[in-house]
Amino acid sequence: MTRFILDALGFGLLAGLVGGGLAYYGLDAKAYMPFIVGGLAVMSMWFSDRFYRPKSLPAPPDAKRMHWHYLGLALAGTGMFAALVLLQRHESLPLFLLLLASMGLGLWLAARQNALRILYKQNPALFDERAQANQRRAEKWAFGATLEVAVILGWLDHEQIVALSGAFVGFGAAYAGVMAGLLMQAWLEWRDAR
Amino acid sequence: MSRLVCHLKEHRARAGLTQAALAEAVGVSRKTINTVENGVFVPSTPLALKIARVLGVPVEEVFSLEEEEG
Repeated sequence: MTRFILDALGFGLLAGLVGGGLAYYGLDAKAYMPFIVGGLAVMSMWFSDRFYRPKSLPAPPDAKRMHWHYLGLALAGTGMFAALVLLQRHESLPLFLLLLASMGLGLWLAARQNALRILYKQNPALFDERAQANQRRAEKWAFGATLEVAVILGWLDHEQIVALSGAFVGFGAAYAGVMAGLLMQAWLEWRDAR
Repeated sequence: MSRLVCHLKEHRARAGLTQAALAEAVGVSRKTINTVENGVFVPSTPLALKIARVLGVPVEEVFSLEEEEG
């Protein structure tokens, strides 16, 4: 977990440098800051998840409760997305705190997800063919959701029905994909646990 | 159209095994055995063969196909 926090701080520092650089060259860095910070936080999660191997592992998870893990990830993602989008329009302390809280929750869950993945390798029964089939189904669902949301938002913007920025369409599609995958996996795990 | 019929619960009970014991013997989670018994999850051929081997019966006795009308 410490490593994840250090990575997040490192990437946060990088975000500050990027923002400072943009401001130095006369660009409106403030407007892009939430996205820069959010993007780098996601990068830090990916970086830690990809390269970090924790020394201690959690107790083997209860397979009947895995849906809570995925719902938590979905909640963290929702908080982060909402705060990022709203912060760009209205600067406020509660929104900033929501962003920090959701990033903290996301980092903690990402660290746990990483440890779980190692546990799965040590004990393949925890991630057997049923769990793998659920994950494949959730990924398929996520791909469909991403495509559909991108098409709908892109079309709304293209036809000038709703004024959306290209960045919003991109973030919206990515968010929809992640949420659809996590919620589908949570639902499938919950259904199997009944 | 064919439908997979699963007799795992009866064979497991006859063998005196709990879901957890069978799950450990074949290397999956208890949740997976439960979903197979309830017809929610269709196991792969290797898993079906492992289950039959642990129960000491031919795989066709545990899993069979039933023809459906239409």
